[in-house]
This record gives sequence, C-alpha cells and structure tokens, in this order.
Amino acid sequence: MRMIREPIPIKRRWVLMFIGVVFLVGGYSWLSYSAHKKNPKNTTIPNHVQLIDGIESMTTISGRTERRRQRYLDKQFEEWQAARDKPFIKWNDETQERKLWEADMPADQLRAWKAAAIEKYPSDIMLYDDARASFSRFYESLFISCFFGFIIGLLMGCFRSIEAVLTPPLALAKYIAPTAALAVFFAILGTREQKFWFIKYEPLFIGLIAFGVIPHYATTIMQSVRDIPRQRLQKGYTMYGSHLDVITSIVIPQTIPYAYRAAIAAIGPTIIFLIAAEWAAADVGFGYQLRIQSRLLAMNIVYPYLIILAAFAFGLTLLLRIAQKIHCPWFSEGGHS
Amino acid sequence: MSTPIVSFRGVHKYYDNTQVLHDISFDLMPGSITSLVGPSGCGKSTLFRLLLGIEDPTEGEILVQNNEGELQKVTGPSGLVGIVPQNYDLMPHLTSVKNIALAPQLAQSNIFSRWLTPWSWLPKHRGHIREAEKLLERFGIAHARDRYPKALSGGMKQRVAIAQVMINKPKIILMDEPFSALDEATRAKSNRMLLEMGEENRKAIEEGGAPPYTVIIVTHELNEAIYVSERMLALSQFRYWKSEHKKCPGATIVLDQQCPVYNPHDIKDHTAWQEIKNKAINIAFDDETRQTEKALREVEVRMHTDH
Repeated sequence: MRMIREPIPIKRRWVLMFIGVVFLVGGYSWLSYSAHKKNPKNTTIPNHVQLIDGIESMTTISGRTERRRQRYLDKQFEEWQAARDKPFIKWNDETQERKLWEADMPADQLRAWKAAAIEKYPSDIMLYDDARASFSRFYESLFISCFFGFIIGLLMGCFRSIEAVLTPPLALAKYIAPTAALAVFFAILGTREQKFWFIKYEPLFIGLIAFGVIPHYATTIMQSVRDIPRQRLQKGYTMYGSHLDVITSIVIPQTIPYAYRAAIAAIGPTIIFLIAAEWAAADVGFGYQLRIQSRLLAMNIVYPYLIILAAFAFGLTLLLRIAQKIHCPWFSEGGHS
Repeated sequence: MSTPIVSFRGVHKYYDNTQVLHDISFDLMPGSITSLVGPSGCGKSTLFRLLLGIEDPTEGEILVQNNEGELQKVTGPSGLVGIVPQNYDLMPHLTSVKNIALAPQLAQSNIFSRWLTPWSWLPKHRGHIREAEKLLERFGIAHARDRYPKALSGGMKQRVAIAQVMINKPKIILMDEPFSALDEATRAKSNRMLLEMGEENRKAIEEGGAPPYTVIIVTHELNEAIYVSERMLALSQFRYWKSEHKKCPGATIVLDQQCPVYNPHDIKDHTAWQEIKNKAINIAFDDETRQTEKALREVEVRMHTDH
C-alpha cells in the first residue's frame, strides 16, 4: 500500500468481509458458551439451540387460532340450526360429532363460513403478524412522509416566499424528537385504526413518523433544487418554458436521485420512530413484541427480531439504490453534474 | 436601412449602490456575428443577463426584434434570445438527442398536453427527435446520440449546447465564452462552425433572404474574437470619470470595431488583425495603457457621439 484509501482487489474484499462475519459469529458463540458455562439456564445470551427454539416458536402457527376458528364455526352452525328449528348436535372433541353437522351443511355455506373464520382469526404466527403490522405501518408512513416531504421541499426550493413561510415551522420540527412528543400524538391522533377508501391506516404511527421524517426530507429536497445551477433554469426559460415547464421538465427529474437518497437516509429514523411508537402504543408489531419479549428475557426471540429488522433495512436500502441506478443512470454521487 | 435586431438604449445597471453598467447603447443588425470583449468582472455577463431578460436594467431599455419583425422591450426571458452558457449547462438527466429535443418540447407543449393528449404529442415528439438527430449529424456527433452529458467531451457538449439553442431558431444566439474549456483542435472546429454560420448569413443576404443567425459571443480571446466575428465591442470600466460622478460609473462600450470577414476555409492572417488587437488591449484591457490620454480621448469621443 503506497497511500491510504488505495483500492483492493474484489476477491480480497470478499474474503475480508467473510472474516468479519466469522469474527462476529465466533465472538457471539464464545460469549454464549462462557455464559452458559456459568449458568446453563441463561437466556440473555442464548446459545444456538435456544435461538433455534426461539425462531421455531415465532414461525409456527399455534393451536389457539385453530380453536378460535372452530368456536366461530360452531357459533355459526348453532345460529343456523336455530333458524331451521331442527335439533343439532353440539360439537364434541371426543365423539367427533362435528362431522355430522358438516355433512348436513350445504357445501357453499360451509365454505363461506370457513373463509370468514380465517378472515376473522388469521394465522397467529408471531413473526408473520408482527411483520405484517410493522411493515405495513412502515411503508405507509415512509411513503406518505416522502411524498409530502418531496412536495414541500420542491416548493421551498422553487419559490422563496414559500421557503420563508415554511422554514420556521420546519426548523422547529427538526429539533423536536417525535418520540419525546408521543403523548401529544396520542392526544391528537388517538390509537384507533382508520380507513381511507379501502386502505386501513393508523394515524398515530403515520403522524409520528411523518413529523420526524418530513422536515429532514424536505430540507434535502430543497437543497437539491437550490443546487441546480441557475443557468440551467435560465436556459429552460429561453426555450419558451413556463414556470411549470421548468419545474416539471428540468427541476423534478434532476431532484429524483436526491429523493431516493433522502428516502434511504430516512429508513433508519423511520424504523426508530416506528419501534418507539409500537413499544408504547401497539398490541402487535415488532416494537410491541420486543417490549414483551425483553420483559420476559426471551432473548432468543429478541435477537432474531433485531436481525430481521436490520436485514429489512439493509434490503430496502439495497433495493432503493438499485432503483436509483436504473431510474437515474445519468446520476453520479458527486452531485449535480 | 433595416430594423436592428437588438437595440440597447442608454442602459444603466446598478446593484444596490454599485454601478456595473454605464450608458450602454448600441444596435446590432440581423445576421451579424459580434464579439463582446473586456477584462474579467467588467459586466459582460450582466449585459447578457439583461439581454436575456433575467434581470432588468436600472435605467434605459433593451429592445429585441420579435417574430413579426417589430422591436419589443425585453421584459423577461423569452425564446427570442437563446444562450450557450460558459459550461454549456446541458440537462444531465437527458441524452444528447433528448437535450436538443427538449427545446421544441418546452416551446410546443406543456405537461398537461403531453399527459392528457399523448396521441397528438407523440407524433410531434418523434418529429423533434428527428430534427435533433439531423442537427447532431450536421455537427458531426451523431455517434453521441444516446450519451448523457457526463460522457461527452467538452467539444461535444459545446456542439450539443449550440444545437439545443439552434433547434428553436431564436432571433439572437448568445455564447458565453464558448471556447474557454476546449483544446486547440476543438477550438479550431468551433471557430470554423461560427465562420460557416457567418457565411450562411452572407449568402442569405445576397439572395435577398433573412440571415438565419445573429450571434453575440463573449470571449477573453482577442484573436478569436477578431477571427470569428464581423464586429467587436469592447466593454470596460473607465478610470477617468467626469466630475459629476462621485465614484466609478461602471463599464461602458469603449470600443466598437469592425473586423475583417473570413470564410471558413480562408487562411488565418494574424498580421491583419494585430492592429485591432493592440487597440483593444490599449483601450479595454491594459490597466496602464487604458489610462493614457489617448484611451481617455477615445472614451470621451465615443460618449460624445452617443449623446
């Protein structure tokens, strides 16, 4: 190496990365081994067997759901029988009498009840339920924050008067930690799920995340609009372009790569705000589960959850980077070229 | 006498209390290729911004011939004046051909017409692309059709920028130091391109038609200014101001010089323009000599004739 920051061959890079992973796994195994040597029942640094148990318990369907679904079907059957004014045989696990009434049922009716039962009591695989709840909250919130952040940043970058109006509230919001203002969001937005058209959403999570993400996102977009050389905009006007033309044909396309970059930067904060909000105000989701499992000291569930969250963030970052490269092949990371 | 295509009439420009331009008055005729020279910071770019309509003069007015052949006051940017900026400022998100086609796209459509009536927009757009391809071919860079600006050399960028301006056929083309970032061979090509434009103008005038190009070039290179243009205007701050001026009244046109006319294949004759060059240096550039009595006299004579 003749000087710092000299590039290394790709093969060596992969080998070094592998060594890094080996160090991590090896270090953890050693720590876990030492802890279990002192206390075989230790759950704070679970060993591989405990981890596998944890993963299994969070990825398999429990009997509870099956029982709930069956109870629902029985209730429907009872009502149906009552309406028909015919005797019915109550369900009994031992006598298998359920089969009798099932045979007596019109097939379409039974199918509809079963579908309704599944809809009412969906699978309670812990990981599936938590992931579904958290990721839908995450995507809704990130999309809404990025959308409004982009519009606000664009308008602020293009029009000085809008910038003057919005700078003070954004500057203030930037320095208020949304997690610290959780009580305010509780009071204003409530914890109930709302419905817009056919989309279900929870205003508390969206509001909290938008409050944390929009100011930074809008500022990044505003700065990228400002960085477009003035001469380039002047050129647009000398081509008979109106304000709208210059914004739509020159400003927005050149701001898109920065929108991707800002979205990538917003992934981390969004996850933090989401987990914090779920920790305090959810009955399903990663944040909720982390709180419950941490209290139970079930680290064999907590650690995999953390790794899943990190992998999710990493995967989404990678995906956005690829999308940016495909969508903006002209863009180089150095800035406006 | 035909109507001028550009007319500066007693233009003054101040930024706060600092005067940048002082009493600029000149006319340009259609088909003229004029160079604007002067020391750095003398206000050439300001003069361009005023002509583009991006800024307003503090006093005086600037008139530009519109499409009906009448002189109209410049009140804002319009398609009548096109510019090739110093660093070309191509749109980085568009390939060469789309960069060129952007100009007619902006001139003939808006986002609503493009999205709401694609059946009428798309054939038009294909026409713009064909037109852009023709210009790329004419400038010898057809092979760079699908390259983004970051993958173009300085010379290629310059030609794309010129094509981008020419496709909309503006009345006046402004070139802000178009040669500054080019190597010697590319500069020679660019010079030839300007001479070809001049030749086309002269042919059109001979045939009784309207000359297609009116060009104003800002450059520091006096040799090039004299070689490619037919007229040279020198802008410079004058050091000896009159008693009524409490401080330097900004820059003004201190030299308005006809230059020898060359055709693209004529041999460059440096000796022929040495005298013009020396004169420009003495009057506009050289801090020592432009303060001589002779230079001062020239300024005063010019101011006297203007008024």
